Amino acid sequence: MDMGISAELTEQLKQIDFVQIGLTVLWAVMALVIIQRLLGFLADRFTGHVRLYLLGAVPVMRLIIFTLTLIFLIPRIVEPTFENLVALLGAAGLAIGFALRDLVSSVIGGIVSLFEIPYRPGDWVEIDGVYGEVKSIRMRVVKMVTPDDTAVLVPNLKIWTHLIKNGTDGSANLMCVAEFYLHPRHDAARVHQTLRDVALTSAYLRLEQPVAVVVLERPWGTQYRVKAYPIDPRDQFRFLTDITIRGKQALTGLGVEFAVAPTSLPAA
Amino acid sequence: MGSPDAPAADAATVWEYVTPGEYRVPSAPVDQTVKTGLAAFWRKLRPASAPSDQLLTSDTDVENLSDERLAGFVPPPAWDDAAAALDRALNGWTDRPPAASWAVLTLGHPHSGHDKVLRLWAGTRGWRLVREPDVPETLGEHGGWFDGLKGDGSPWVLPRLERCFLRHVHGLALVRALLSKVGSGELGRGIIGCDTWAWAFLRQQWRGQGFPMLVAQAFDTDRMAAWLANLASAGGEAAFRQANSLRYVWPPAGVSDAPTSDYLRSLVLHSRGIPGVAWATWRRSLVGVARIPEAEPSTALTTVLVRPWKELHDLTVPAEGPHESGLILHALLLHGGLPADMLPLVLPLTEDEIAAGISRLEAAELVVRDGKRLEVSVVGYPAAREFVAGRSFVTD
Repeated sequence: MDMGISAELTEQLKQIDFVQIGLTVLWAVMALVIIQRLLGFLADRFTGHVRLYLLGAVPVMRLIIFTLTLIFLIPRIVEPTFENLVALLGAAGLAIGFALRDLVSSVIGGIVSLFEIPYRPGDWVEIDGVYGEVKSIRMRVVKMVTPDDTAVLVPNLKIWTHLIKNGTDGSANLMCVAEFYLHPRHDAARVHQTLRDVALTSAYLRLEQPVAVVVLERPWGTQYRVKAYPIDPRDQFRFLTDITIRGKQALTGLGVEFAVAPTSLPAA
Repeated sequence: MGSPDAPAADAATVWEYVTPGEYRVPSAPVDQTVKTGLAAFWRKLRPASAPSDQLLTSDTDVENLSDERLAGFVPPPAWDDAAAALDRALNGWTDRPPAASWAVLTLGHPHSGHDKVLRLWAGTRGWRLVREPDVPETLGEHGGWFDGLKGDGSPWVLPRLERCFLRHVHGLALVRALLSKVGSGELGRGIIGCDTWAWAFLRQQWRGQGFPMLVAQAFDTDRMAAWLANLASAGGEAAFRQANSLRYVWPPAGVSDAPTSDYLRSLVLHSRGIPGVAWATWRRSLVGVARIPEAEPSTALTTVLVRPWKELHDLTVPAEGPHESGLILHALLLHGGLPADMLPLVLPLTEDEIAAGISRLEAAELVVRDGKRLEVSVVGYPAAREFVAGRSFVTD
């Protein structure tokens, strides 16, 4: 019996034109290399959107050549009988299923997020260590833009296992915290009132929300945390900059000394 | 809202002082609100249009209004009637023993004349007018200023509390001390006038004892018609008609059942019932004198044409530099105007940014200079208010 299977296999292999397959693969590789080099050459000659479109065409052409090559080669390797096709598609389906597992999870995560609403466009959130404004919620990903103007695509499947910190949660209220670190020898009550007034007189302050100054004593000095809300969450960094600059001016005017971070931690 | 009847001759009755809880901003029916909203959206999409010069018909003989005639029909408002209304509202308080409340706070909208009203009232009652602190006193030592306020212990009037603070870390101490001393009776009896925008800011800065508060009620259509008619009477008998339809803005005396235009309702909504804002807009609306003898019941009546509301030149905040524009306009509204050299103290902008922003706002007629002071213009106030409210700044 083994001799029969082996003979059948040998007979099938003899029917495959390996030369034709080899030449086809060679042509495909050459076409791919030529197109990549040509598009790259053209992209270097242009600027702006044209250059980006040319560079973006490279992976598309790669996919097209790969697909056409497969379509040409498969009938020459595998006899297209019903049984062979079922076996081939079954194996392919299994591989694709494993590969697309995360995609399906992300899509379902996107659907769940429509009901749970962990974030909305316009919210400022932190997901998996990335902080930014939610710009759009798509089928597979959430697009965020960080404060450094970097677009980050976060797969929706993150909602299953990661903490999502939402600073605004659908409202326009985003608490911002400005921190000051001072040498311990100073009038804390006076500094507390001064920093509170610094926040209260900010042009970016949302007046209807409370302003708080939290004072904490640390081994190396005194930490002041000024907590307030800007008019618009998009102004949060201008707000913090304004408070920090004017806070430093006011504290310098009081003659307060700022703490310097220790270069090494004290021994326990 | 129905069209006004011929306005009553007694313009003194249009003024009324109420508590802030009783104050009513003129409101429009839903369809009017939708139309106004769509018009505002459309204005954002298209450039500001110059007023049309096309009037009624080619047969209409229109004579432009000279400055003298314009001043006759729209003279500067006198605030005596308002001061009398304030006196009526304060009578109950002036009769009570001082310990009940040492001061009354009268709020006034921008361009409502509230400081002039208080000065007039102080003159009739013989109360002292208090000097406003200068900048060094506001930002630093102010003991001498309080000594001056206390004076001989006689009742006093401080017309503009908005000139007693700066939105600066060192600019709040004086106003906080003032309100505390007033509440404790240390400074005796007094009337404090304050701009509504400034009070919206100050009430978050000082959480001490409250004061009785009064504010002039906004003018509705009838009150506005009576007030403007009384002002116009100085220019002689006149009938004010819409230039495109000849409908009366309000029917003159002796005329009944005449169709009227929606101009007054639009004016009241646009100005939020603030007399000074309405006065300036009304002044810009007068086109000229027309000779239509067959249209008037009396040959003694002069027909004055009024530009249709849609033809009025819209003031808008420039599209360039909205961030700077919002900050500058809000700062000017909060302080009731500021000297130009004070703006860097209260704004998180560089001097170049401030200068460029002011230049754009002056070109758009939203900001005007009065000597060294910059103020939101009276005709630009509605647009400025809408703009800062749209950017979530605190409003009055």
